[in-house]
Amino acid sequence: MDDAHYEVIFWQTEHSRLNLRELADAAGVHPELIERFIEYGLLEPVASEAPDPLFAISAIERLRRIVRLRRDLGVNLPGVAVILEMRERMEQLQKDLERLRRRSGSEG
Amino acid sequence: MPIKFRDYYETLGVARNADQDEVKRAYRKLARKLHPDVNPGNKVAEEHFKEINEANEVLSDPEKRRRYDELGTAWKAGMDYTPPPGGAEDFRTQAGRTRQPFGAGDQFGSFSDFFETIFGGRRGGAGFEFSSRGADVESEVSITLEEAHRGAKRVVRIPVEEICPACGGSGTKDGKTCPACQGTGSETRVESFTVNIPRGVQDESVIRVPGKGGAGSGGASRGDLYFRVHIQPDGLFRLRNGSDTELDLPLAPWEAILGSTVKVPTLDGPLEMRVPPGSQGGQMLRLRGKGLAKQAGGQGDQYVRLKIVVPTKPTEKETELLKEIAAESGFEPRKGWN
Repeated sequence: MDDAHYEVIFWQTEHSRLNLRELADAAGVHPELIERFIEYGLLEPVASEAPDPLFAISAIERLRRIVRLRRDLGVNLPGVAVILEMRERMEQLQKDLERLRRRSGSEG
Repeated sequence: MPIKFRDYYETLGVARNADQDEVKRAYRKLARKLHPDVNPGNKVAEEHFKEINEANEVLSDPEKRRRYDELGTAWKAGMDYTPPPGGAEDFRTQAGRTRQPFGAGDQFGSFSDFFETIFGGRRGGAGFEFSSRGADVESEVSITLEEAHRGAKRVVRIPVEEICPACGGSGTKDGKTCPACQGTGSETRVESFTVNIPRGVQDESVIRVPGKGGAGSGGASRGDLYFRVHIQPDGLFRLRNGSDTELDLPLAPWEAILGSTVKVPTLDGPLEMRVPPGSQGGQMLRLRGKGLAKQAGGQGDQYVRLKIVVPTKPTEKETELLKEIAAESGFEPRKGWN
């Protein structure tokens, strides 16, 4: 039974920020690939002060989504951008619909 | 326990004699439609997507498809399927089922028991071309507020599945089922290590221990282990804004009126605090920098909520004095009401 000590290398909450390395590590994506995604406007840092842009925790899921869309459906980067945008619009519409449903439910 | 039979041809909507191109086309079409990333919030689509993935995994691989077809055509989807005896070498119990951290992993690829019964665990085989790195494993760790403040250590024991050293993972030795692993090709070892939880860790934060997750296949690296930290509710302190603590301070009416110095517990030990004269119940006082430690350094604040409590059984003398105050006092607590 080996008993080695492990230091935590990063930790996060909903509000913490990740730098490029930490983000790459968390999402399992190479940092250079992330930089390319940023160029394509697929991902935006929340604070872009050089030399170390910072990302929100939600960027991890977004990155994974980009990777999955490329891998599972063979979508290229501009295509991924379109899908993510439509997805956001869809989510907004779902929210609106849900609100309208609740409102008409409470009236009836 | 019987397992439900899955009709992979029906899932993909192709004929049993469909060729590889037809299978591929059918899968692509369904994948575009059902992919969870293009169906936000749609659990049904996600389940469906997993099913077509599994069907595609089998039907697009000639070897797997052959083995599936050997089961015969008598089966219908949903029928109870009991594996025939002798197929035991295909059984693989996975020590410690894995989960993706935050339920948002890299793939939507957990396969059914039916699949695992016929093709074994996901190791070996043709596998998923895209991910041979081990799975990330998520676990939870519960600590006290005190531990969050000072940091803590936890000894962690996890079962690790390793390739059986006797047969090198093949499951057979000298033409027979490997006696060391009973043909599973893997052995389970319990690994123990210590994780240091840093001082100032926040509730719901996640600690990552690299390389301690599930084993990778084909020599790939192991996944990571994630701990979600839960800070247990404390009897005295409540947490707010991540690193501020809040505490109720019971005061006698005269302590609130006249002001007083009281001993107040903090995470760093008791502290003398001055309550100014004329303090009101519900009022909040702040002890700057006496809250929970922050990971980046420094400490949050401790908020002290004043709570006026009264003696329920006053002595005769107390009652006498209070009556005197009641008679003498011109204080109107409800001034302004009609």
